[in-house]
Amino acid sequence: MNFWRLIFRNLVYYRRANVAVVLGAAVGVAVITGSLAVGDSVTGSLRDLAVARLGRTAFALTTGNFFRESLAADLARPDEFPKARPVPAVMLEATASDAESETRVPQVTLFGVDRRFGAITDPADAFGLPFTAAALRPATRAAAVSRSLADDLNLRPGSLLLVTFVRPGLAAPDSLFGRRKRTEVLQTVRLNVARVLPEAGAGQFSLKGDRPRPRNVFVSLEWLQEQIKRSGLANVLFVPGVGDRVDARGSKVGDAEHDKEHTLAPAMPGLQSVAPGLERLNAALARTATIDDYGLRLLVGKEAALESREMVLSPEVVAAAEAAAGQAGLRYSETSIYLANNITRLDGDIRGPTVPYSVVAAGDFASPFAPLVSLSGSMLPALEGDGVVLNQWTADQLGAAVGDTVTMSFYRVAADGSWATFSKLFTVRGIAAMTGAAVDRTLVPQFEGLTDAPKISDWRPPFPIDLTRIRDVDEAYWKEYGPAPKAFISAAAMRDIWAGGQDGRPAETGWVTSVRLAAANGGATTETDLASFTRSLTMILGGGRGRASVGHATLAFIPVRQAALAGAAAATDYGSLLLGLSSFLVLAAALLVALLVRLSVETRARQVGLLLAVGFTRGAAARLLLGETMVLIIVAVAAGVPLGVVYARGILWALATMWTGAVGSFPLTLHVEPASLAIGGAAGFAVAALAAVWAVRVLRRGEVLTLLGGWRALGLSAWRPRARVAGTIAIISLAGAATVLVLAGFGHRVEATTAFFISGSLLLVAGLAWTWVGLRRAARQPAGVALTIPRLARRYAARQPVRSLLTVGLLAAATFIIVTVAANRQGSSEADLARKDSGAGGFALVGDAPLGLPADPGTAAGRRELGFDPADEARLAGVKIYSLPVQAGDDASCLNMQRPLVPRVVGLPELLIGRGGFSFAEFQPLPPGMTNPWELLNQELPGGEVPAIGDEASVRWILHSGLGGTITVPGPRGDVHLRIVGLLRGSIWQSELLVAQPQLERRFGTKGYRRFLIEGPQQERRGGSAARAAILRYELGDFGFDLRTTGAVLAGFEGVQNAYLSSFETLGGLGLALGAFGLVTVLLRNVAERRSELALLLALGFGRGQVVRLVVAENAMLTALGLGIGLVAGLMAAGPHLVQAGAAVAWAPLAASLAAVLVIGLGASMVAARQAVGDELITAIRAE
Amino acid sequence: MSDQPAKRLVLDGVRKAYATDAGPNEVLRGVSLEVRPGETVAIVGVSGSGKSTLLNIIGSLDRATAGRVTLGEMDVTALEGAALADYRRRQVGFVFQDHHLLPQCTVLENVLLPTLPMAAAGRAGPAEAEELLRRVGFAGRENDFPQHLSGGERQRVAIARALVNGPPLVLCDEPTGNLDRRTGEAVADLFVELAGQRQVMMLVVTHNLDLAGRFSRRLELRDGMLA
Repeated sequence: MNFWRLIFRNLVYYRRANVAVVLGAAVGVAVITGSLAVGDSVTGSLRDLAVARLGRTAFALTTGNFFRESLAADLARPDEFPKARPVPAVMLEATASDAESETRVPQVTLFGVDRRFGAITDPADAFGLPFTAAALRPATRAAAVSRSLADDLNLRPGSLLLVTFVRPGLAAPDSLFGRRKRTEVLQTVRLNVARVLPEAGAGQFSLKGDRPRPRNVFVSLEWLQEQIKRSGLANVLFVPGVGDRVDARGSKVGDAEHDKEHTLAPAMPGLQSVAPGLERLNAALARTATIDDYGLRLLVGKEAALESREMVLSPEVVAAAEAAAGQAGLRYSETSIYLANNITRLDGDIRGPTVPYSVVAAGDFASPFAPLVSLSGSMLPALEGDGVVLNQWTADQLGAAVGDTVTMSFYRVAADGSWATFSKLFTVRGIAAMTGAAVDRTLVPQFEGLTDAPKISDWRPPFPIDLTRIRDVDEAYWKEYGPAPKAFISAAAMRDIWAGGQDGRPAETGWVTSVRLAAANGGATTETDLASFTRSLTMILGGGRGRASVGHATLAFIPVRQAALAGAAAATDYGSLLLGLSSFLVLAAALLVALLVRLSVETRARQVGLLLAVGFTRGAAARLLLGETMVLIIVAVAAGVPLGVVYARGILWALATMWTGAVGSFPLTLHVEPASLAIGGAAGFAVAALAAVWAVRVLRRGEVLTLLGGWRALGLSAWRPRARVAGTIAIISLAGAATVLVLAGFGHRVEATTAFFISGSLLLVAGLAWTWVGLRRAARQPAGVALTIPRLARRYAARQPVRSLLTVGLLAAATFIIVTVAANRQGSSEADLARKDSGAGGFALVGDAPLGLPADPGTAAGRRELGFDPADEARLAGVKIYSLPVQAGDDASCLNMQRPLVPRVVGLPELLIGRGGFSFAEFQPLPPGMTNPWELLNQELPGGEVPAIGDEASVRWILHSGLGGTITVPGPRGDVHLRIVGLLRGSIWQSELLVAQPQLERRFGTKGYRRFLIEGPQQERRGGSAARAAILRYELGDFGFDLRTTGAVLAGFEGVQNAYLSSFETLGGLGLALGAFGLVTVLLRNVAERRSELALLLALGFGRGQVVRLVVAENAMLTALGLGIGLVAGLMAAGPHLVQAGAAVAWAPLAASLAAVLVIGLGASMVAARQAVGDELITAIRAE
Repeated sequence: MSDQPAKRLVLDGVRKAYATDAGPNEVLRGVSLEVRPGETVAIVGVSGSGKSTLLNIIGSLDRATAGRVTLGEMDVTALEGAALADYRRRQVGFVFQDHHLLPQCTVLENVLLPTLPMAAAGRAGPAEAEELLRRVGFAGRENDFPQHLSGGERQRVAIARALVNGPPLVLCDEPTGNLDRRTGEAVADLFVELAGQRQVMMLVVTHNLDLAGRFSRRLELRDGMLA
């Protein structure tokens, strides 16, 4: 005989009770392990998705500008990176529509590829797309489309497909040369669907992580280049890895383990430093790239001229050109041109002759550059201020002489996209002979539709011109001198013109149209000099920040695979979240284990007493019991861990079905990490062991004789807290609850929601404490009071006060949590949304145009530019449309499961800032005189920080920041630090951060409008709103424009929260079920223990029905007490949510859950009682 | 024969009072007693006279309110913790009225139960347990479970358990209370025989006067004192 044999005997003998303990503990282990496995699954699924959508792509060059397709071959030269094998392609953001219907699908990616693309996805056929010239035959306009797009538009092989995209290479829409008409901005191609791709490989290829089902269209690269007039050019380079992963040298560096090691938390700016080989790859790019690749061209002549394909050179390029010229030993001059609508001589206030549509230039017109020479042959001095030099032709046309005043009028693009004119006065400082710079047409960069026109009347400009004003002499000038400037002004004046004539406001996107280079000795520029210049220029441009920027000339590879893996780390720690949501279930399981072990220990009190009586120490006796329990818990862990995997599967299924709002369309698959299984098993073991240790404690205090007396004697003599102590706790808790409410109500020292929750919790504690007091009092029958069945029921409950309190407490806690959670459900009614301080800000509709509108549809002029039907103006009367520019980035809302590395940023126009609206959770202190928190966006912050406002939920839980925090976003001119100055509550802005529009344009160079808020007339009926929405969709659909109601947007966000609440309710419900199981176990146990007593009542003359009612009354009292305390406390805790607009409490299911528990409890006690009193009387009396 | 040197049991002015709502209820009011090795002492008295209480105090299952109990040189009333457990293990064998056999253990295992807390060396083994069972007339059914035994048979097993560690003192609380007359007499004879053979001190609480007459001494508890 030894300890283990005794343990074995005990385990076998009490197997029924032990099975219950194992089951309870296994539940706890399963829940903990499963929660961790869900977290692993979310992370693993996102990682799988991230890797799958990239195929073999490790690095990508995506500048938005076009570069030579042969750059790929240059990079793959033997002396560069032969193993890198870059793959060129054309990638355009587009919309697609079915040729037969008006259904449009936004966020489509149009790829122009060739056979080399097979190195990115996989070899042909495995993914359904042989990238051969034969498969994508240009002549047939063949296209392969992804399954998701085919489903959206009901496409099959042979279907006709229309794909619309923004013509590449256009000048900025807000400049003189920017095109805004729909027909000029957009291009549509007709395609024949040759193949529908499966949802794998090319079909799910995407560089963007927030599109779980990308909509892709693949066409022949050659054909697409021809369509967009970019033959031989590409705008994206993919660099595949070797095997699973490869650095830029082509060495395999590992697989999944490598991925995990390089899963990063920091934002994009930090990624480059850890991506292996990236630096060398970009260095090679800097060496092999030519100025063509930067969208630049160098016109060679006596003077060389560096121009941009987009008309204007960016400030970065200008700075780089200046430095490169210095390195090459060349003289450098910034030249700019503009078109003057009129040059008019003024005689006082009288307007004299006018020359229409003249090019005006500014620059360095002295040696070694082509000079401006006066009529007498002397060099004209450099211009300053408002001075102007007219060429002789112009001076003759105007009859102007030195000292005369001329006025010039120019176009500028107004904020609404319409054309406005402004004028500037100049003083004639000189007349230039028709030689040198005065007739130099090369000062004007090539501009399709202008410089290539044979006559002025053949112009196709982006701005309006009145051809009736063109005279024969003007055409003659054009014929002889082309676009050669007719007037020359100072650089300061030119900058002012490019800035729209608004003094002091810098030209945001640059003003230099060309950089001229000349040999320092005045001779012609040599090939050597220019080669040196271009080499230096490309090295300077390529050796910058190493980061690609949209709309600018910087070329750089980015580590898309590493970025994807970093983003694949979920924005929310789903493992911890599930663990939190399951916490009550774990607690219920632990309490159940404690309850069952306690019951088991009480049963064996007599045996424990015997062990002590024969010489066991208390410690030895306790170790014996604990040893048994540990064996049970080990078995529970062994069963619970695999059950946890099953639990995880169940949760994933629920996330894909019932709680789909939590994860959207992201596909989740089961991933289980051994570490999680180990942690789950260990944690579950710890929880169950603690519960068992607590349960066994009761034996430590029992005297030997008491224990020998069995559970009855144990129950009577067990130490219990005095009623006085419990009463004190109750009073303190009530006082605390009241105090917290007072603090919240007066002086707002505590936030209301928090205060009510604390009060509710204290009310729960007070309720349980009063229950204890009641049980202790019920244990003593006051003298002289008649004994009734209800009073007898209370006495019975009081005989096992700890057991009774555990039962009440379990039910109360479960009810409290379920009620509190149910009350937090959010839902917004239409009436709520119409309020300006609602989450919708009073807006009915919100629109998105992924391709970007070049003009503002919120103005009549903008709508004209966009080609709206004039009849629509009447239909849109009273509608206010706020058009907002958007800097592309990741969705920062809870709808994006992945971690947003670079959040999206939206620019708010001053009109919207002044309007205000929405509701703030908190904001920084307002400066004196400021009453509108939105005005904080216009502040100037130290250190160049940009004030930003975000939704509280996104800023806190997704971006992990807060009020006063800083979020860094990469910009074209360096990192932009956004300081959070305000947090919105429950708004439609959860996907992005908000800054003032001028800040967005200045810091990011963002152009075009992509987000729209539509505010209808007051009292508009739903039909009217729908009609206006239809108009906007029709007119702007080609830009991918789509509208959603603000209610739908909020519902999407609330859906996530409500999905989490649903999951918490369900898991809480499981906990309640577990609690109900515990309740039933206790009830049955109570009845079984009292069989002899109940039989005695029968022997004394009680009817069977009376005895059953007695048992049911006791249990009904405990059940109702538990549910009642939990309900009252829960309603108190959820008070603020219940009374506020938007609460969507599902009372019916809540009531059903609680009613079910009541019914189960009463039913179980009734069944048990009937069974107990159904036995033979004497057998029952003798039963033990 | 007890495995230990001869010791005397001495009670000196032992008192026991229970607290009630109406004030302390003194059950024992100064009991003094001396028992020598080999003696069989019957303690009789009416119900509620404190017989079991006295036995429980001697066996350290209960605490005296005042007075002293010594076994040899050992002050039983001052023992705590491990010393107390050792006393129960090695100095006392207790036979309960309800025998308290573990239903999940065999007869042999029940007899060996008190040996578990003992160190391996010096611990009685199965052979000794079987010998004891033979001595109490229970040979050949070592592997039976208690629920298959009659009342008398269970009591015999309980006696063997009480003797397995060779204690000098055996306390029996109404050992024949649940037995028929014939079985009870047989058990009583067994007590006398074992006491003589093993030179143990045997204190038996009983309300059966005939049974009490079989022992070497008969003491009556009346009004909390031994008469």
